[in-house]
Amino acid sequence: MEKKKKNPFKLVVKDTMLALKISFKYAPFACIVMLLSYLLSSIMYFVSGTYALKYIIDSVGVRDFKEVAIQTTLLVLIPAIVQLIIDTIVDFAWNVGTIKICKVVDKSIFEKNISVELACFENPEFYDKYVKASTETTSHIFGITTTVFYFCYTILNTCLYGSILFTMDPVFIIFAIIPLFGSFFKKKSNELWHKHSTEDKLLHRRCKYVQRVFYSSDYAKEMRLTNSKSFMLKKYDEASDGRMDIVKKYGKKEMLLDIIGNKISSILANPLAIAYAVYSALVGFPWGARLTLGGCAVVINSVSELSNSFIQITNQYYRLHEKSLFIEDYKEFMSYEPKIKDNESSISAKKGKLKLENVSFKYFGSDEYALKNINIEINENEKIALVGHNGAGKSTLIKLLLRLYDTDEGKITLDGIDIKDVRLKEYRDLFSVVFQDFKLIALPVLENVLMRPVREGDRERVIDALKMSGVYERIMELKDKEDTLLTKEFTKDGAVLSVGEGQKIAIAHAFLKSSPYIILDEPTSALDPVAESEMYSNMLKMGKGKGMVFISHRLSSAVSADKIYMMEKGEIIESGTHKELMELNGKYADMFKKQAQNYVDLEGEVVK
Amino acid sequence: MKKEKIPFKKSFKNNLFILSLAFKSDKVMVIMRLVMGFFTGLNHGASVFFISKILNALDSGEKIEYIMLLIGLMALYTLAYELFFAWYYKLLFPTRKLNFIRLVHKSFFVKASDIDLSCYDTTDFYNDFIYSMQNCDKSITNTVDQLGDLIRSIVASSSVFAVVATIDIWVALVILGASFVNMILRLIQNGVYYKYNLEMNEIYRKQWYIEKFFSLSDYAKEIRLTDISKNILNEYDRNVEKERKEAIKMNLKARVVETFTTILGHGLTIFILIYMAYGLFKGDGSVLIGGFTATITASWKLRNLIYDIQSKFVEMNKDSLFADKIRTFLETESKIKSGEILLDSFDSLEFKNVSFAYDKENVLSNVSFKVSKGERIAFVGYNGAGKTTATKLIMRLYDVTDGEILINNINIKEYDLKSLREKMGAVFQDYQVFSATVAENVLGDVYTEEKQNTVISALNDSTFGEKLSDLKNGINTELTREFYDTGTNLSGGENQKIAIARVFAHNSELLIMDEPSSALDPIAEYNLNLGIDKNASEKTVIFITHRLSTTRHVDRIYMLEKGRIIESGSHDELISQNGKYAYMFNLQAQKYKI
Repeated sequence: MEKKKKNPFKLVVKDTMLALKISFKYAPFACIVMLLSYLLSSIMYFVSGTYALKYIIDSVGVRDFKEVAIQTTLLVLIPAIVQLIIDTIVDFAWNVGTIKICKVVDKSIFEKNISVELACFENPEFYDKYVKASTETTSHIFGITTTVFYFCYTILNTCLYGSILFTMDPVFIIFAIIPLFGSFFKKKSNELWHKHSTEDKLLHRRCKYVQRVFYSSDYAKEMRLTNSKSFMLKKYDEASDGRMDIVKKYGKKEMLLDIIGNKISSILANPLAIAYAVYSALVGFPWGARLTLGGCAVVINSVSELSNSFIQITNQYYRLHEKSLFIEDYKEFMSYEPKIKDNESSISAKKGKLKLENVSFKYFGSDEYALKNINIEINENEKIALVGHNGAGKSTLIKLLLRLYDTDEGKITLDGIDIKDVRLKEYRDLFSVVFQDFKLIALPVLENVLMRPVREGDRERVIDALKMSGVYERIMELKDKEDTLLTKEFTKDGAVLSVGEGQKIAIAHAFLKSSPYIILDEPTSALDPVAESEMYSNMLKMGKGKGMVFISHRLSSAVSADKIYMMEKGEIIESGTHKELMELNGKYADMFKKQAQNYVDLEGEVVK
Repeated sequence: MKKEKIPFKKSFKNNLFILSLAFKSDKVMVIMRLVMGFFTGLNHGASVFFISKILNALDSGEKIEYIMLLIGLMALYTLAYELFFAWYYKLLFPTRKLNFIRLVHKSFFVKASDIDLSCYDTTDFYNDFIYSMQNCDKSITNTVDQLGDLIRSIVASSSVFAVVATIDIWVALVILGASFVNMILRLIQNGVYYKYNLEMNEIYRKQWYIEKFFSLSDYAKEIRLTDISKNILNEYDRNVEKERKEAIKMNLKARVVETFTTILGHGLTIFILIYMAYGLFKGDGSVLIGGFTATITASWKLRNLIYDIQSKFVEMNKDSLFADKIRTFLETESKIKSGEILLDSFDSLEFKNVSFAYDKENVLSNVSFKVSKGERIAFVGYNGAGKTTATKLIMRLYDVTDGEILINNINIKEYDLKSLREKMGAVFQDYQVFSATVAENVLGDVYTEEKQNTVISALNDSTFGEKLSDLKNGINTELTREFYDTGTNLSGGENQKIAIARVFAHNSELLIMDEPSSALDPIAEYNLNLGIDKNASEKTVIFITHRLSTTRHVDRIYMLEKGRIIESGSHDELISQNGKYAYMFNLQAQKYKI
């Protein structure tokens, strides 16, 4: 919205054309019949409401009744039958057509999403556009398409009513045009509304937040045990008062603009036109022919139709303008070039030595380095442990290793080749990963373990993996065993697993994928000590002959690593084997001792 | 999904329920809206009335002055009407509505913070609950609007009909008959739409989930690293196919009705045109041009109005589904009722044969133990052993299924709930930080100057002190960016420290710490333990932890398995017992052996 340099009119035309192109491309038949239906309804309304009226009144004393009756019937009946047929077709074609368009657009958005890099999710502006694009684009495409059809309808209406009034007396067109002057205020009123809603938006968001605090189960316990209710209600009141003030501030102006912009025709132009018509019928003006009674009836009946049509045309333009802004978001989203992608010279990935050379990285919008000058080597079958405080950069390092982000400085190499030159999909396939913030998906257990479509022979492998991760018994207790749908998103019968069980499912996936490298980011944080211990021994078994990187707060798991990297504030401050680091007696040793002291007495022996 | 049919009666009742709710919140606003509906309706009749009057006057050769007077009257009427409406819709209504929404929200907030926590566990209820909270304002104002619009349509059609009846009673009767048939057809169509909407709900839910799947960052990493998106896209295809089939089915049925109403409508138009033309052609003055024009206009208007009324009924039917949710929510009675005894000080806590089940299976079975003032105990055990549940029972977030919990030898159900909970402070495993200042978060209440020291010392004890000195606005720093773009986002560990400070700041006598250091690194954890020692030296503390190192210094450890206490005693006792606790402890300890 800030970049308002582009000519808004051109923009509207361009975006409208784009939306129409999509609609007509994927559902041409539906669009054509829909347009026909709109046009026919205009004709229908005109013929039976206005034209037939004039014809009958003007025929009194001129034509034979029988003839008039037959003519009238035909006049109404013929378009009516055509309309009925068209509408029947529309009902089916349009519904099916829109579903098809939705599908195409949705899929294009999904696919785009998969291709953009993770960093986009951290850019709020981009993310906002993306969410808007993904949830609203289709409705705006239909919105634009039907608005255009309605626009055609309005144009036809204008022509029909305009021509019948014009043939009677061109002066009537003037009356119909008067309300158009109100349209000049329309822009102003739109701007005002825009200002109003921008100011209101922030306050509205605050109200919504308070609302969420009251219903979200996350806050439920705290709300019951403390008096947080009091300040949350206070905040709600403040925001609500603010919204009220905004309405009061803009209300008067909005009211005036509404009267000038929308009501001129009914208040002023229509009565004037009728008075003119009556005068013209009874007395007559020197410049025009005298109106017949039928003509007078038509004027009374239709001058408001004509002026309404004029107003509608401007309204529809503003509607298109509004919607085109959304299409702009969609276009911007779709035209985004993913930065992390293959190029023509990308080569295929083979298992090899991974090396991070002087790697530095900053998150989007942050001035601070999340990682600084990192050098790590991971040999093909080495076990590496990353330890350090919260926020030291361990998870970030893993994300870089997986090429979810690209480094800002330095490079990561696979067998000496920069990973930017390796085919992305193949490269990522080298890793099995368990993330800290793993989330189960509303699909059967089977697919949650596979994380890809089911193929033949998968079932047995999944069951083996579930056994390895220690969640097999639990899954067998479920109603449909490994075919049980997880979460209650779709069905009441869906199984809800605990965090620990979810983690085991994620670990089962890593077992099953059996890639050359395994990455574990706090994979056992929700497990109890026994489960944790079993898991580690299983993972070590699985990791035999493979490269392994793991992050853990519990240093006990780092002891067996081939190399430990201690990180602090994005830098590696110590590295070596457990023994070396303990001898160094630095931060790692300090941390380890603090954790161990309750388990181990001073001599270093286990408390019996 | 069961598709229970909500018959009209229930739909009517539900809508009535919402209306009475609205009426209770703000009478003036509701009445105002309905009266507005009435006047807008009347306006339709008025416009037909003026048309027929003016044209009839013209046809019967009235003086031009008289006709001009009529036109003037019409203009005046319109002016008054439009001005009044602009004032109403742009100024009066919006403020009144905001006020109305505020009243509705507040009553919902109060209700929401009163319902039992167990309600959150029932997915169905929780979904309805979230829906009610999110949409109560929209839903309720919508129902009022619908009724206002319904009144408008009914008044409009009656007034239009009345005008036609004064012109020609026979035409009026035919229009009435046709409208009646039309109405019945529309009602049949309603049933079709209603069923279709129910089917579609399920389809839309899936669609939303899939959109969420791709747009939330939750799944972003997995989408990039695995082929899971293919599974979801397959689901998407299946869903679209289902949507298509439903749409075709619905259209088939709705089309039949639509065809009849269209034929009826056109038939009526032709009939009126010819019947009235006949009157005109006779030239005996029984039909004048005004009457003729007015009836034609009126018949069109009536057709649209009946369509309006139908769509209102469809809407009301839809609303009824939602109203049902709101109703269920508001009519939920809290099962956890406050007692009357005020709890002054905490002396002892005792579980006597306590059993508890969230659903059917017992999460706790026959648990008994006792804690006296100043003691520290720890619950340890495997995932899902029932440790957290036990603490929730103490706070009366749930009530026991069997057995009893005593505080100072009196059943906790006898105590005034507020005073009971005031004596307890808890750090939950899934601690939360509110979008408010640090001080408000620590106090869990409105902040005033004199509480400054309490807040600061609590933060120091929870080892947040160092970070606090980094914050520009100190304890008045706004947390999270929900309210202010300048708000501070803390890390998981820092948030946990805030949650712990909350417990310290309260003068609670019984502290419940559920994995209080899960997001902390070892050094922070070590310092925190010192903080707890300092702050809670004389308080009763219940720990829940996976890290057995924390449990070494407590007075008694309870090892839970599958909801039962299987071992209890001090650390040394349990180690020498060489049971499950000892096994678990050694498992953790051996890795630290050098």
